Amino acid sequence: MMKTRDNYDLAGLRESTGHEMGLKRNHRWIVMLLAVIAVLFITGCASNAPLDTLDPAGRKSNDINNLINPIFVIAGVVFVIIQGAVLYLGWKFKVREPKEGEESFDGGYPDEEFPEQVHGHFAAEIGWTIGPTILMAAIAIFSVGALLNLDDVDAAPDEAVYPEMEVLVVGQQWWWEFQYYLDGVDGAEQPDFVTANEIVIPVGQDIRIHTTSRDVLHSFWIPRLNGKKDSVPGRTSPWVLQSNEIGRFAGQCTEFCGLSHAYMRMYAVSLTQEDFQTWTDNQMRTREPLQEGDENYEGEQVFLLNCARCHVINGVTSRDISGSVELDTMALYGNIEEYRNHADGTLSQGKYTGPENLTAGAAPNLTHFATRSSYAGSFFQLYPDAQEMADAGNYLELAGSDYARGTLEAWLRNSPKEKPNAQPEQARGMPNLNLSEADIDLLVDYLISLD
Amino acid sequence: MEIVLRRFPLTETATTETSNDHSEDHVSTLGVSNDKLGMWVFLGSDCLLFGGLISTYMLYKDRIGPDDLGPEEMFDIPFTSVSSFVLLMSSLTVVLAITALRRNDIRRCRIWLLSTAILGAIFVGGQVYEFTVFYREGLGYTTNLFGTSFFTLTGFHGVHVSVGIIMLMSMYIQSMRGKLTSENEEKLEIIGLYWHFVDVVWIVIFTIVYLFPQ
Amino acid sequence: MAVVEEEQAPLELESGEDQITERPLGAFTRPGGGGGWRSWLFTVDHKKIGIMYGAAGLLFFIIGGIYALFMRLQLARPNNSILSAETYNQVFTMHGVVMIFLAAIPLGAAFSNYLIPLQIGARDVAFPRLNAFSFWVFLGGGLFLLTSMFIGGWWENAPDGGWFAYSPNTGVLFSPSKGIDFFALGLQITGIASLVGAINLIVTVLNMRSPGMTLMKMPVLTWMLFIVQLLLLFAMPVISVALFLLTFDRLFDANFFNVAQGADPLLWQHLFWIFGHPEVYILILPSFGVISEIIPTFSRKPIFGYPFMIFSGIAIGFMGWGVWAHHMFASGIGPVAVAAFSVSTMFIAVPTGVKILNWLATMWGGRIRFTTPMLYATSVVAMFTIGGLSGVTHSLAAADTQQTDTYYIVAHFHYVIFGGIILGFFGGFYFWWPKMFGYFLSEKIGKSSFWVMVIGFNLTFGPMHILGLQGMSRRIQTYSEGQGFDLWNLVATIGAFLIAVATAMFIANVFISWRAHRAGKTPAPGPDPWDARSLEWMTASPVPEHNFDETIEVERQDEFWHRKWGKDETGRVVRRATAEEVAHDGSNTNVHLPSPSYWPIVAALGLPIIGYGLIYNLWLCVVGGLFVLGGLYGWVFEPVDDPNADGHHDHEAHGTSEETGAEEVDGNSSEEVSVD
Ligand code: HEA
Ligand code: HEA
Ligand code: HEC
Ligand code: CUA
Ligand SMILES: [Cu+2]
Repeated sequence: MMKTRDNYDLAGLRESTGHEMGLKRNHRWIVMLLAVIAVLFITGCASNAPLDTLDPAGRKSNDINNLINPIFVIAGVVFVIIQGAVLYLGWKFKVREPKEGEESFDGGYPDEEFPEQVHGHFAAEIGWTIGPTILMAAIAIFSVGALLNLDDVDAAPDEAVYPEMEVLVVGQQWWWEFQYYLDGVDGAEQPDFVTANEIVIPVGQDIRIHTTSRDVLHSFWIPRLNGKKDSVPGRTSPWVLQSNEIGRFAGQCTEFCGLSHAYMRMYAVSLTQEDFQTWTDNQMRTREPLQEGDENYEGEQVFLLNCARCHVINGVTSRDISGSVELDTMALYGNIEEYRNHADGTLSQGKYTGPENLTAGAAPNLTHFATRSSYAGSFFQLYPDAQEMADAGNYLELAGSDYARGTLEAWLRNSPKEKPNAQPEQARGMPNLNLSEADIDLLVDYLISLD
Repeated sequence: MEIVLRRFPLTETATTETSNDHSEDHVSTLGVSNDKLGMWVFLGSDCLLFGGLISTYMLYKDRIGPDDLGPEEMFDIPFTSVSSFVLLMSSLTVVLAITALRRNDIRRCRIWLLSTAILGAIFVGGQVYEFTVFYREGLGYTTNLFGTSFFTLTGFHGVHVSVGIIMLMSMYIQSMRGKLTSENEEKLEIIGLYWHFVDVVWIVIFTIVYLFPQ
Repeated sequence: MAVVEEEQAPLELESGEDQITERPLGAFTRPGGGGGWRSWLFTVDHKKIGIMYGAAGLLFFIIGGIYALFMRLQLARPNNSILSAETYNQVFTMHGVVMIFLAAIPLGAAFSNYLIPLQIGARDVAFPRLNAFSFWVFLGGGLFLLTSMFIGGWWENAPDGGWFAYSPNTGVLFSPSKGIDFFALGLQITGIASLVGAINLIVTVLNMRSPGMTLMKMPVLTWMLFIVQLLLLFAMPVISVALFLLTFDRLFDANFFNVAQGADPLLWQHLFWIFGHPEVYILILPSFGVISEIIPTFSRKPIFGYPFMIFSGIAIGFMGWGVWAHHMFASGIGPVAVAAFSVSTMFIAVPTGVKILNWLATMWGGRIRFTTPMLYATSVVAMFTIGGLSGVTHSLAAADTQQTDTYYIVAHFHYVIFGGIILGFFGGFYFWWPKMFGYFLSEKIGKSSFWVMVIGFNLTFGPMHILGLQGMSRRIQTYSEGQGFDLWNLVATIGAFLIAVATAMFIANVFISWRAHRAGKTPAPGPDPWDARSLEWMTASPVPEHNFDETIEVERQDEFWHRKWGKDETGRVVRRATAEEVAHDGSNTNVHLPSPSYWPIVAALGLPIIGYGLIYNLWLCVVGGLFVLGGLYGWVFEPVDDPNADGHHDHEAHGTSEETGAEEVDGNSSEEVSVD
């Protein structure tokens, strides 16, 4: 009665009997592979990664870690249960393959035996609906608490040099600008000073930042200090940076922002309160135009001729490259009210609209260029030892130390080659200015003197 | 007599379908024809289209330049009320056309069909007129966000009405060729469904856009 | 051993089917079938259309995979320069767009088209010509998108805004090439295809079920596909609106995303994700359905908790509409909104978990045959869960601020997409291949390619979890040494090539098995090679053009299985009939079928032409418009039937030579002709 019907046999089932044995042998091989992967996994995790999200150095990132660690554990348990169940069920209820010469029935079943035809189990269904619901509800309460805590940007002011300090973080293609408001943005006409690519904060203190953008979306992210916050043109979003350690923390723009998105990085540097005071005092210093005979006078002239139409050096540059040097202060930069409310179209105010119109309308302020450890979206290091020195609390000593002259020269020689941008056609990023080597030399000397 | 074509309904079978044959009740599981069901399903989807456009308008209606005229100054409520009323009436006439067709009163049906199309055309004409007035007053498509989203929303609706008019007119032509009879009254019913939908959408737009410009 | 007879539907042929034709209208005759390519171009047969969807989807999957391989090559080493930043941005955009819109959705549509009518016992879909239309529109739109790679220069005009194309980066100012225009118009065209297809299949499921096939007797696969169509129905108009706005901005200077005018870039994000999140369930539910057919079949048990499987599917479909902003946790939408969307997202784990556990319960106590389809199906249960769990870790909004836009997200969605969808679909291919083409795919190649694929897949995307948590941002063209990303990127690249090997093995399998079949080396599958449960197995393989010889009266869920198997007095399952005895042999020639039609493809062709017109020259729009209008005109006035139908419907190409097509009809008669 159990007639073999050849045409019901699975293609290749018979021949695969031997193959099955091969698979058994393969099992050991798979276990080995898994072991190798596990080892690699552990070593890989331990390797030094400056953007590591699991290595918090600030209060906020710590809070996030305290949320995610137990969740990873729960997910791990569910993972083990489900994978275990799949493997166990597959092993336990697998049917015997028909032996050589044995007749198979209906393409593989050795006999007509059926398991019990269970259609369902109401209580079980309710159980595995309610169970995860309760679990998720518990996680939800836990998680919403953490979220509200994270989004609380109104922490009480700390004992600090500038307890009210806030920073407007402006993203543009493809670098960051930081506008410092030492007494807070409320009521401020203009920032106290402006810097680029490296946000410097006093250690321990909660610094409220507001992210926004001049062109497309960007996202501000210093993983070791906090999660990320998008920079949205036309909006400002509050966020907090706080560091428990002195050091330099890497960041990366994480919202796709066009061509050079990969090259749009940043650092947060945390200093002691005293160092921070020193640093702000220095940043607020405007420069005097150099006189003939001063060191770097030629450099400054080349700069005014070639660069000042985009870049600002407080006290030195003016928008008008043909005329005499006028004092140009922060007026170039809009104040926060404009960033908060662009409905009247003021975004373009203070923009450079010269021949090589920049889409974002801004270039990094270079007044204290040499105090920054990196440049051009922090993609290039100005000082090779920056990381070690900053981590050791010697960030302020960087200016005047050994710097990477070659890279800076290359940048001035042809910046679109060093960092992809869309010059000249699309007017984004710094153009190739076709400078002579002599001018480049002068400029590098000048730039490195801007401490 | 069983009709095979009803068993494997195709859109094109509408012309040959006999609606008085219910012997094969499994033909359409729900007892509604595929065509009609299809129209209902499509209209469900269209709701979301207008939903998206209306939300966009709601978000943007106040975003105008400091010197631009806003919705309050722009709209001529009495004028639009009249044209809305005209469109509303066309829902009535299309119903009259369908009932006339059911009674196999082709002549009346034709009259109501034509008046529905004309009422629709008056509405579209009114919209075009309104657009030109706005344009002359300085609200172009690209002037500001209000203009952009207003013209897009009402323009999409206008296109819907126009498509409806084309469908009504093709029914009218079919009736001239003797192809529209009580036998295939469903075709008209389906177009009627569409027409009512476009009307209802207009009521929503009129209320939201014109009556509550705040 | 007495067989307890459950009530059985009579197996008698239906008779007295009448036929109406119309007098042919001049030029508007319908194509008369015939073999070869014409039988595919003008077909309105849901099975052929399903197969074409599948073939096109696979082709696009390979194209999208080749993009992926280039990305992986670029990322294998730090500071690599295989792709420039510009090209890389285009490549990952094309990869995402092609994979989601041209591979995953169409593969789902392939299963929907082929299987829904069969599983509900219908002869075809509700609107066969509309079905052909949606396929050609999809193909036209897809090819339109791909031509952006060549037109106006090699990789000059490919879209570069990422698959979700966030504004304002997609405005003309920031993306001046024509790429985004191709993106917006191409997706609008394929969107029309999805929308039309959804309407068609919804009506089919609601209205064309065979007698007795109530909603709660439909196979789980049909149910999931039905939910997918509803999701498409409501999601497609939303993305259409978004794409309209974008197109108007780019082509007609509208202001929707013009920040200088006060526009809000978040509008795009909301519109996109209101579509985009339901979209991910549009992608996954077909695969859930597929494995819900495979697992019971090879466990030799009915699906566990059928109603819960259905309701959890419905719940996923519903909840999917209320979670879209979990893609915007970092956008600055405010803590209240973030909290609400975070919580709603978490609870999607519940219905999904119900499904996972029901599959496991189906396997529990079964007699499991690990054929290739079953291997794939169980791997879906395992691999999808990994992706689901990382999804839950994203749903905690606070934690997501660290994860969003990193490779941890990339890992999540490839686990759910590749581990959930692609593996499931490959399982489906192996499962239904004998049904569709009348020959088995080799189990030997199948099993080994399965292992290569699963290992390659885990090597590719497993390390991405680590990369993401170590801070590797997505959509970056390169990374530096010293960021700690070197090792795992290399591993991922190796894994990606293993996936390519496995994919190539599948393709090779198709040809090798086909040749073996031709040479008579492998057994014919017969109607029911796997001892399966649903109606598509109740007819010959490959399925004859008319599907079933007679209407099937359905009495219970898994009707076909119950016709084969009964219970004796002790409750033991015993054979009641063999599959051949129950299944139709496809010999009924007395079935009227819709004739092929020229017009769907003509009308569909117009849409890409309009697309090019909008980008390059508005006059082309007129040409395209004429195609569409002409197509519709022909469509409307086409006679109901090919008046010269001589039974030569397009069979040969389908792999069978039986004559089962339309019956003889006197072409000159305008009377109703009775054929009995
Ligand atoms: C097939 C597609 C698919 C599917 C099914 C899912 C399923 C889920 N996704 Fe995923 N998702 C994507 C495709 C998909 N996703 C894509 C493409 C993106 C990125 C888009 C882009 O940015 O490009 C994305 C991004 C994405 C984000 C945004 C991340 C970011 O950019 O910041 C989030 C956030 O919440 C998320 C969450 C979830 C959740 C909670 C599920 C849930 O449905 C998962 C539920 C499943 C399980 C949980 C496992 C099984 C359950 C059990 C075994 C029960 C027991 C478990 C528990 C109690 C925990 N997804
Ligand atoms: C259906 C969806 C889908 C699928 C299947 C895949 C499959 C793959 N994806 Fe996909 N991926 C996405 C959807 C998908 N992806 C989306 C939506 C994004 C986001 C895009 C964005 O950010 O905008 C993304 C992004 C994305 C990234 C991140 C890019 C970035 O952020 O910079 C990466 C990186 O590795 C990646 C890799 C891969 C790989 C290696 C595969 C592999 O699995 C591919 C394997 C397939 C093949 C390798 C086929 C090749 C076969 C052959 C070559 C055989 C040919 C032989 C013959 C013809 C005989 N994907
Ligand atoms: C048309 C505008 C323009 C001109 C002219 C221009 N730059 Fe720039 N410059 C930019 C922009 C934009 C950036 C930011 C580029 C980036 O990070 O991608 C930049 C960046 C820089 C940086 C790095 C600053 C930092 O902190 O990140 C330096 C240094 C610099 N430019 C020097 C010069 C010098 C020297 C000249 C003249 C010889 C010059 N630039 C001329 C637009 C300009
Ligand atoms: Cu800025 Cu990415
Ligand atoms: Cu989502």
